[in-house]
Amino acid sequence: MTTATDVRDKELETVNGFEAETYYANLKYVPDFAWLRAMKNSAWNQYQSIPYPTRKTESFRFASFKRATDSGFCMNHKPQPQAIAERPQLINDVAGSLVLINDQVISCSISGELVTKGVLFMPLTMALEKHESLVRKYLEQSHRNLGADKFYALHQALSFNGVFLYVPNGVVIEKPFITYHWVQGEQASIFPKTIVVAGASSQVSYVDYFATVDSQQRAFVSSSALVYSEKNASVSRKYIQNLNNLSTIFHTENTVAERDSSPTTVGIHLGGHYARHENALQINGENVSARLYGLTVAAGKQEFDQRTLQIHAAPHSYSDLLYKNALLEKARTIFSGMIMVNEAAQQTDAYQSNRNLQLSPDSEANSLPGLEILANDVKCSHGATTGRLDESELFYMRARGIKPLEAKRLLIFGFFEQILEKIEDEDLSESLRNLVHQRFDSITH
Amino acid sequence: MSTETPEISIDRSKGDFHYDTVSYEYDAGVGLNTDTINYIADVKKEPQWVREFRHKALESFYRQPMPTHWATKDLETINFDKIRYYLSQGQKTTRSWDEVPQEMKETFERLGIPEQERAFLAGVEAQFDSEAVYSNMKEELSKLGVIFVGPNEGLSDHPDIFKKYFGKIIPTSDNKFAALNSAVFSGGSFIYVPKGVKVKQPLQAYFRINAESFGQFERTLIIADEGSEVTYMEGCTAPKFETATLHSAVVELMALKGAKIQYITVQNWSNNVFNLVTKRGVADEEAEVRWIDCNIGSRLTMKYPGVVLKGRKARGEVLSIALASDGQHQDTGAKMIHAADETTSNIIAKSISVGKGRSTYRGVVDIPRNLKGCKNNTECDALLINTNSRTDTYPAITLRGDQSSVQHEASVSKVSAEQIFYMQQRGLSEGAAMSLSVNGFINDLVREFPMEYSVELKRLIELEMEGSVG
Amino acid sequence: MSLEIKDLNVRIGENPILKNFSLTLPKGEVHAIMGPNGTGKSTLAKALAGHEDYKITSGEATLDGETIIGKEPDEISRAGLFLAFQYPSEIPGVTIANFIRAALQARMEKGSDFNAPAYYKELYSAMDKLGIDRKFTARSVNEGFSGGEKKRCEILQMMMLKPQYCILDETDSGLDIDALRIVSEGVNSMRGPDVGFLVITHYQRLLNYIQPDVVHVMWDGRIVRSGGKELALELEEKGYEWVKEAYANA
Repeated sequence: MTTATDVRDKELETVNGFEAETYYANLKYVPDFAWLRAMKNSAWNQYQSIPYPTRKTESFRFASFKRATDSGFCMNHKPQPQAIAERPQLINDVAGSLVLINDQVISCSISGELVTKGVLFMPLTMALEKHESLVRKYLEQSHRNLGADKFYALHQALSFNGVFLYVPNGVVIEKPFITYHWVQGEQASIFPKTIVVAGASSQVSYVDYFATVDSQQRAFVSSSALVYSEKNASVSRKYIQNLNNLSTIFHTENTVAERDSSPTTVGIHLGGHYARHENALQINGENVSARLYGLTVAAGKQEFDQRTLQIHAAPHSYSDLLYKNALLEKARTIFSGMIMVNEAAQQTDAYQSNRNLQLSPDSEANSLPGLEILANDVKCSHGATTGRLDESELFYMRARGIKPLEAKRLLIFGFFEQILEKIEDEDLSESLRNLVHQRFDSITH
Repeated sequence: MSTETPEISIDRSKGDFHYDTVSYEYDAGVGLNTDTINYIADVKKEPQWVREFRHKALESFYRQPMPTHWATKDLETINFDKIRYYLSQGQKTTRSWDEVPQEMKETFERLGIPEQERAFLAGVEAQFDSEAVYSNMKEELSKLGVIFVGPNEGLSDHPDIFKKYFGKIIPTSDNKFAALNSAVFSGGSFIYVPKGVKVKQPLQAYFRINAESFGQFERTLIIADEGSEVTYMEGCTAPKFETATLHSAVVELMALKGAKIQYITVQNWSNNVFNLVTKRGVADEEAEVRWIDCNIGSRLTMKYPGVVLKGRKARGEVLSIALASDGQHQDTGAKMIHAADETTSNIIAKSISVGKGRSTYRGVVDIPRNLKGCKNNTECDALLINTNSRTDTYPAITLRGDQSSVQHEASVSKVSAEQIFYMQQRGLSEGAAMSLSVNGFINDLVREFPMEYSVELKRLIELEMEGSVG
Repeated sequence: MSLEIKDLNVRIGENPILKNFSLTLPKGEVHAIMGPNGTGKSTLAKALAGHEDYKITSGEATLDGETIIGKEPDEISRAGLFLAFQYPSEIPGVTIANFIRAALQARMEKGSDFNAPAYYKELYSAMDKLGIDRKFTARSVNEGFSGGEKKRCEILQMMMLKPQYCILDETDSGLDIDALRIVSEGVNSMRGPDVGFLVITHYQRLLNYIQPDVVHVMWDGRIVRSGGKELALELEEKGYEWVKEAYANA
């Protein structure tokens, strides 16, 4: 696998990105609304005019900018669903589930009871046809990207499907919704868009799961998500990225929190040759409690490039961010975080923390934890630590008769647990725990 | 008790005076071009290699863009064509205050320099605009072989050791302002401390800008030979003029095996000085470089003292205090480059933003190879006094491998209303309570300063806060 | 000569807390105020000390005939009123020695000299009395102190600043018997014809150590009953329920 990666780095330099041909061919999958076409055209023009990142691009600081490329990929509109028929489900007891291969709908289900309560859960294309004005409102919301603007423009231009989840005011849903995003075919690419709208005082849990059908076929994923948390809503959102190690990933996440709401997002990052994840939180109202968590297992020659932004635009709100990375082999991680507290956001309580666990002499962790504070009555702090396993803890475990490798494994799993325990759904947290542990064991054994 | 808009003024009266009567015999004129370089080199009768060094640096300065892609746009307001790059009376640097021209002597007397020299210093150099007017060191140190002169004398009298390190620690092209300094540098210090010599009392340089629309570009090189120790302190003031003044220094430190260099700065430029300084030290095996950096004055300071930890068990430290008031931006920080096993570095930065003042911390901690047993600890704390005060923190930390550790903590806080009420209940006025709290915030760092300087520093930071009450 | 409070009304935000509260504390006397939580005892203390969150809407409060209403907290302090806080603030980086010194200097005429040796002598003697380790002079005010240490530090400040009227706001809460005894001894050592004490407490226990001249019972923002020391014993025995019952509908 390692040699394949090496070859790829060289190839990437010589190939260009997506061609106009691809853009126009793809348009036939885009629902035929003039406003939507106009959006796409403008995004396509932007994509073409924005240069690729270079060594000097500040928003790609520390990233291997040469990996930040979309060269050599294509769009494959012909999925073969039988290939995933035998794949296990991440969770069984769900409120609704949607399966996409290469952004094409394979199946979609939602509990009938929720339909009667007015809950909408469907592919984005279908949502556009049935609820044009509602979906349009959210599609036209301006998203914030954290520097991968070229790739976000590409996503906007080529995206034709995704998920629309709408929970009306006051509806409380215990079970999670899940969407499986499969990528199939050599050099295939997907551009899914997730829109989650949690109405006032509603409660909802939603999972996006990304995977490649074939572990040897490299994929390109350029996705986005908008999580809209209305007044007093409680939203729990998970992003599970389990693509193969050859893939290139760009994801732009926007969480918008209105007053009294409490959004929580958990990201589990496992796959990719280069995986860029941008996570922006916008707090628009008072008394918001927002939490952003991330867990990354980085190995081989993987590079995880994570950029986060917590914007406090209203007073009396709380946000907490914790990103934990475990680094093995020759992996690299970049964590670049920013807390921005506006002049108006007095009595803000904001935290940002990045913890890197180095498990190899060749891994490299980069941390850029930033603060921009324009209000004085705030409690803000950030911390970044990078280090190895605690020797005294290892010794303590060995003194109890545990073998060194097992002791290490237990300590590393303990390191992950701080994130995994934030997942309130037991089935989901158990299956994600298994996913993370399996991923880890597959690297070390 | 509200802390909204206390009126704050910082005592800069001490440095705010200048002499119009000073007549400059040497003046490179306004603006910067190759003629300016040749003029400076001619006046200083420099050897060809220095002249070439200057010309190369000028090219590098032209080539590099203003770093506004990460730094403040305020840099764009500097008009390099309106600045005078070299001004001197053609005076000789003397070893006796009696021989210093009258206005200059008065200047330094008003600033208390001769008095401090008598009280606690091992040697003093006083620079007036582009050149030093006074330089003296205690007899016994000369006998031990300690050198404390300006760079002119350094390169003419001690060419071997000077050339070996000059421009090597901070290459000309390091950044736009290092290039500018390298092109037009004049004044500063050259210090060499021989093997095993421990200079007990500090050596001090005092930099004074007297002329308007002037740029001061001193250059300092300190070499501490094996096992030696030296403390260097620099102070600076300028009168407040209508137009902006530029100060752009380059300071290079070399601590050879087991040597210790402590470099202390109390920067109190007037509010219209752009203070853009490059400072870096190299620490060999078991050597220590320590920057104690206090920034109170200037309109914009950009300064990130660095240590390259080159030898095993080398230590680097930056202790930084910044105070940004209305119209000031203190953009300061530290760089720690670990290049050998078991090297350790420590950064403690505290900033206070008052009124519309802005303080920024930028840090680089780099442990780029899989080194063994390296450690960095960084703490940066910001105190915001008013609702419109601002602070930013931009650290960048890279660690490779599993044999080292880094730890970075930052916090932002304010003086709480309850704290002020508590102190007022004991009879302190709101202003006194605020001042005591602010001093409390930086107290543990101020203690690191030599006694004489910590007193000076506390006096400078003494905020006069007339309460908003009433 | 007294602390005179007459028909005082105090609000926090929009909520009225003190309602026509009246009390006279003559110099030389110790008065205790008891009452259940939420009746306004701490509000009284904070309002008298001039805290801006506690709005005095009407009424009068005077120290020896001079009004303290509308004055700054530090003016009230220098006029002779000391408040031992229920929750003393932490002041990082400011040592106890420097803090008390600053407070004493604030009371001095401009330009007069501070006698540092005499100050330290007195400070150490007070600390010894209160069982505070002399090393504490170099510690930041209240930072990292235990509850008991904070309260002793309050009494230390009181002894050093020599106020004419002292309000002790639940100084006894959370103290063990030893600490309570030490704190009380500190207070008792200051008793005399020139000082008046207002001791706010939940517990009769404190009054075993500090003998009050008068005990007041507070309910719903005012004093509902006053008596001698026996009133405290009665409260201890019967609890506050009867106060509530007797006055809730009154």
